[in-house]
Amino acid sequence: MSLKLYFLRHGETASSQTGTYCGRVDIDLTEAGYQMAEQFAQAYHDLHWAAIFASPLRRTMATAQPLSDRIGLKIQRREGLKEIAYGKWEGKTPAEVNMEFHDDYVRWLADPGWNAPTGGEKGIDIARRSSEVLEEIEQTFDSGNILVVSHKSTIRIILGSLLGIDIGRYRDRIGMPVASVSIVEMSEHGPLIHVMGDRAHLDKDLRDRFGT
Amino acid sequence: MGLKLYFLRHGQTAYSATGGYCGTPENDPGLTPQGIEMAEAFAEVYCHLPWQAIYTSPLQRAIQTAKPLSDRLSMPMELRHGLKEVAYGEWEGMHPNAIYKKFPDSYVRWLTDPAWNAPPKGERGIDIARRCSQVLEEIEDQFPSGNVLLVSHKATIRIMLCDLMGIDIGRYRDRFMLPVAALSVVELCDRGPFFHVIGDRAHLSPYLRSLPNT
Repeated sequence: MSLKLYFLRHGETASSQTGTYCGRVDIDLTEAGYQMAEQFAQAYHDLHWAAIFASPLRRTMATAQPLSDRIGLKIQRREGLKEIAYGKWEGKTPAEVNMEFHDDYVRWLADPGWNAPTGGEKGIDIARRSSEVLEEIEQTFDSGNILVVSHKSTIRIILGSLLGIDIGRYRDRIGMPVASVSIVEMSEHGPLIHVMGDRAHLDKDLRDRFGT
Repeated sequence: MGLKLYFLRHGQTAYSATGGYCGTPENDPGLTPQGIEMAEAFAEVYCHLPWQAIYTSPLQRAIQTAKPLSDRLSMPMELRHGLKEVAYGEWEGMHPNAIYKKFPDSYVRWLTDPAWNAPPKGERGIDIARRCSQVLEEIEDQFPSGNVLLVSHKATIRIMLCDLMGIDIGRYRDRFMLPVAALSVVELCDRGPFFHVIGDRAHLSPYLRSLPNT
């Protein structure tokens, strides 16, 4: 058996509901977000888990917690799994960013691989720091199931890297709703996607909630 | 809202249950009873969407998979040769071990890069990419928005997904798993194809999901 990576995006937050940019701002899950984390644990606790890695932000730790509690496996925090740093755009809506930082915004929308939000991080920097975490996981575990709880941009950039897609395309190619799971097996001939953006573990009312 | 393409792989066949290579019309098994249940489960969950059109490969297993939705909506199927499975040539109906014994070099070449290497007398990945991109172009020209179903095959759908995502065609066998009756949804947006989900099987019961599914 080979190594299987389960990338889980954190559950719903106030920002995922409103669409404001939320990178390093450390907000909590909503009530529905906590339910999403519970339902993930409910659906997946039977798997044999080798480790749980998570971004150290509150919303990802809270998403990993129910599974960690059920199976008694400690969450390993890694800075490399954090969300993109939005710099001066943190907490603002796209419309506000477009007004205040118009040129930076247009550049970033066209290619977030090599352009950063004003004072924030380029996609390529996120690809580098997250790939160090993946390398650590691959070196520590040669098989088994590993949970990686992270964020919308970070997971999409990791998937883009694994698939061999230009990092600058991550925002336009891959949808990644809250609490969705993407499963990648590190097989002999490279990363094999079992499923991307799966939300079958959520109740219909949670799946149907509005948000990004 | 942009045009949303729903790529559905056909349901279970005798080959998908055992892993034999199965491509062209000369080798066109129908669905197993469980495969038909998968098709019905898809129709049950997705019949409420406003569908614009149903395109399908003319092979029997694809038509049988599209039929329950087509019947419910009274919407005809558009059959397109471009959506057919890879022609496996001399490998049709054989299992991997037998192919490796009889065709060792061409099999290793094909496994390593199925884009530019064909099974003997079969099709290269790049040929499949060309014929199915003509079907996608036809659909894009006709429908600027709405939901369109495409029922096709394991290799063909994986090649379309690679093409839309910008992945080298030679990687299609190694990057995507795509079990039977799996659904992948791609929206054609202003800045290109946006993948909502790949390999979704939430429309199947746990029993159908648990079956052998290559």
